[in-house]
Amino acid sequence: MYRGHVEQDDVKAALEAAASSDEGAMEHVAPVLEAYRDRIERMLRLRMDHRVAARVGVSDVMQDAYIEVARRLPSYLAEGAESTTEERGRMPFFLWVRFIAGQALRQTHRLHLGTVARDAGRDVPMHAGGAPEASSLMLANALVESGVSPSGIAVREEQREALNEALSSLDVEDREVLFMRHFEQLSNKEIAAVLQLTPGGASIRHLKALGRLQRALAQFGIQFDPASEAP
Amino acid sequence: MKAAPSQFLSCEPAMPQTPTHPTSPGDDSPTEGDAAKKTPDDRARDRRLVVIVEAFLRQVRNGGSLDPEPFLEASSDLRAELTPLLYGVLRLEQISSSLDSLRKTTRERQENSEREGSG
Repeated sequence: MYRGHVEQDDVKAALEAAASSDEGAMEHVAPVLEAYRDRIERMLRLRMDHRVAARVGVSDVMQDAYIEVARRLPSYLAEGAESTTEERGRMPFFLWVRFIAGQALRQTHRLHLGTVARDAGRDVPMHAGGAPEASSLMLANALVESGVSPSGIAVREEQREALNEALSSLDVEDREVLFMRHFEQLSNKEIAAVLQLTPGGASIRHLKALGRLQRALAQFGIQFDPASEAP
Repeated sequence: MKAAPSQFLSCEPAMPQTPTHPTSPGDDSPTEGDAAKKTPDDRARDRRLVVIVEAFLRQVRNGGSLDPEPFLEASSDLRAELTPLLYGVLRLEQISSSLDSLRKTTRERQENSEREGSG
């Protein structure tokens, strides 16, 4: 139907049709879920622990997530309209699906990394929207594996640990904002909803995180701004 | 009697309310410490930075020019603050795009290999 991009009106129509359907609600939202597939898969791939990735495919987690979406869909639909900026309501559908997928990934981490996994006993961290947190190692991996060498400085495998250390100095919300905005490609409005900020607050958080990331990387001689490169 | 726990965490995501206690007028500062130091001019400058960074990000995502210079020239009074932000956005978007390409290539290879295996 519309893989990759879905209009908000189409989502609304699909949810209304699902809500008024006695049976087969999933049939109405299936095209929307298909359209979300790439974004959800990107989130899972980026946040999956590398030890788990060696054993479990992203598609397996996605399948678990969509089964859970089907199970919980009636209660989601029963919550009424999506929230507006003025009043409380149910979570926007994409963020809800992302939340369920994030939980499926956390469950997979627990199964494969044992019950003592770092976040096993913790509350769901809302700054990650229910998903495992974007660790400094994930960001470091992204920088190394992208093959992009900022300012011409080669980012080598042995720098991964150093990058990890630098990125650890960012607080978790900074890492999440950067991860969600640039790697998951969430909109500013979506990030604001996940972080429980206003859209203006989320934008400022993004600017500050960008600044802190660059200061952290600068300690290792990595500059995004060519004018700041050492001669 | 409590329902049997789901395989997943039982908490349903609640849509957050718009914060009722903004940390600063306009709620565009995330910490109280920052809010205390911010003047109206600071906040106006922050809002301009946000608008420019968002516009540049939109341009990059829409396949437009990757050159931040026109934005810097158009806001020369903000150049010092804006330059690292725009180049930061550019680099992160390039990294993200590169990861996407890597992911697609890997997926295509896997699909090809599965086809060959079943063929």
